[in-house]
Amino acid sequence: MIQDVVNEIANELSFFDDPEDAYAYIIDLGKRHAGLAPQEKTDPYLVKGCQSRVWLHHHREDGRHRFRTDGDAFIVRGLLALVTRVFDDREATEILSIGPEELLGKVGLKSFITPGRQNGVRAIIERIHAYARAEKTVTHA
Amino acid sequence: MDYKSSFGLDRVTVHNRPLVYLDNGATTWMCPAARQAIEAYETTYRANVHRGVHALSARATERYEAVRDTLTRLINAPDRNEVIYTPGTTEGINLVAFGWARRHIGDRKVALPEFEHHANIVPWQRWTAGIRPVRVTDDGAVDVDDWERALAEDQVGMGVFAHISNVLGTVQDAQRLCDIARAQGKPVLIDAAQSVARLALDVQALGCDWLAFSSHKMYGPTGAGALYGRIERLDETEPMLYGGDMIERVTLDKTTYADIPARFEAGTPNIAGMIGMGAAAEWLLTRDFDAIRAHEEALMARCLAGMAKIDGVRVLGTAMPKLSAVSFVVEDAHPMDLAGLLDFRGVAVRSGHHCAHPVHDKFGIEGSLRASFAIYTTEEDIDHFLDALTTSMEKLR
Repeated sequence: MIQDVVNEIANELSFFDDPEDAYAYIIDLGKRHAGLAPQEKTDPYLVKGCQSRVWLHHHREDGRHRFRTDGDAFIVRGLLALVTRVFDDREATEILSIGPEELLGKVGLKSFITPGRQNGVRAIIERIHAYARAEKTVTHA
Repeated sequence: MDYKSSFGLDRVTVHNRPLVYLDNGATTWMCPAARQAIEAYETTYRANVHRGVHALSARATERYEAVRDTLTRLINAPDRNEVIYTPGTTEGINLVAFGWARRHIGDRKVALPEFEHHANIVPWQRWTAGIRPVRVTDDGAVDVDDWERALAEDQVGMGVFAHISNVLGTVQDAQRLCDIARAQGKPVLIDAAQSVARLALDVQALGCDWLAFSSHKMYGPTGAGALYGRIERLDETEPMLYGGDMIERVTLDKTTYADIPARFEAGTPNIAGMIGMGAAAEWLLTRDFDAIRAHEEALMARCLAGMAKIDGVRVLGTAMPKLSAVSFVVEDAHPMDLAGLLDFRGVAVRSGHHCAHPVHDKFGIEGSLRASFAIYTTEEDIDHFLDALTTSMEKLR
């Protein structure tokens, strides 16, 4: 369940008393994030509204939504790793059940990333939601 | 003098650490005199200016207009009417681009060094035939020969330059650049945003046609600034904003405009902001600019020497003189990651492109980090920053 993954992440981050350690942990996730090949990092895949460059690739696989992401900075890649872990390989209904505030507020990302980066996280989740909503529009048309 | 304590910076913590504020290129903290002047206006004589006959409005108008005299002295303008109040450097430049350049050299280009701030690029792109980029050398100095060639070209109508580059910190030989422009009979505008608080400015000696600066980079509040314009140029300038305060007589058929400077100051202005800026300018005028410069040179030397000892750090633009700001990149580290880690150590630096994409393109990088200094920056701040930089780089390895 998508909610279980969100709870798992909240739990992982709650181990850090010092926000700097949590930040370093996300940077570490960023270093290990698979990312995209250089030729996949092109303008049509850029997500608008992020402070630094973020690319999002989407495709459908057996009725599920697949997302692959990359960014410039490790901290951004780390945040993308978390976002991908939550939303990748899901059905539209599941995807739409988790909003940006769930990750920023409930999981607590808000406490150690700047408002600019919070907006970036919102922008990418909104783009992911748009893919999910597009499918639903087509299905119910 | 312990500026850090009088400015209140010694009492600020971030992430439970004492603040080391090195983002002065973006905005400085306010000097106590500016804070007090704003407080006095807001609590003892708040009223609109240039309106009404009551005592409070008269008092506000008097203090507000007195700022013009202070700013006139700060830059040694020949006449107080040549100092136009603006919300900041950006709007001052926009007024010249829209109100003067569009009408007088709209079919020609504007020569400007490749390292300019976007505010000193985009208005010219918008209202003239475009930019004639002036080469910046690999070590970050304006190529003066290319400036001379550019100003001699028929297609170039004027020249503009930042006195101190907000990215590289390089200080231009403003006198020489102005002399060259004058010899070609071309007007010149100086963006003095980064120099007004660290170099004694004299627009008469420089012979520039315009000089724009902001309050918030000279220890005053944000949203206030000034544009010096030579009176002949101001006479030729069309206002950018229309409304109250800039008119002489309005009928429903026709309006005649007020004299300069009021012609360029439409609407109720940022009264508290200008009064705060005036107080900051008064305060600056009682400082010793040689001492300010010596202080910053010492900080710069210490910072550059420290950075040279850290493997993987590359400073952008090593040309001297260099004041106020040092931008750098770190091998295999994104500026944003480093700035984030430095923040946890209490160090505030700028990361990104610092509103200057072209200079980053020139150095072949997406962005950089920038540490920028002010009168209250101490050698301990620099040492703390260098330590934090080393630690943060280790965390990213």
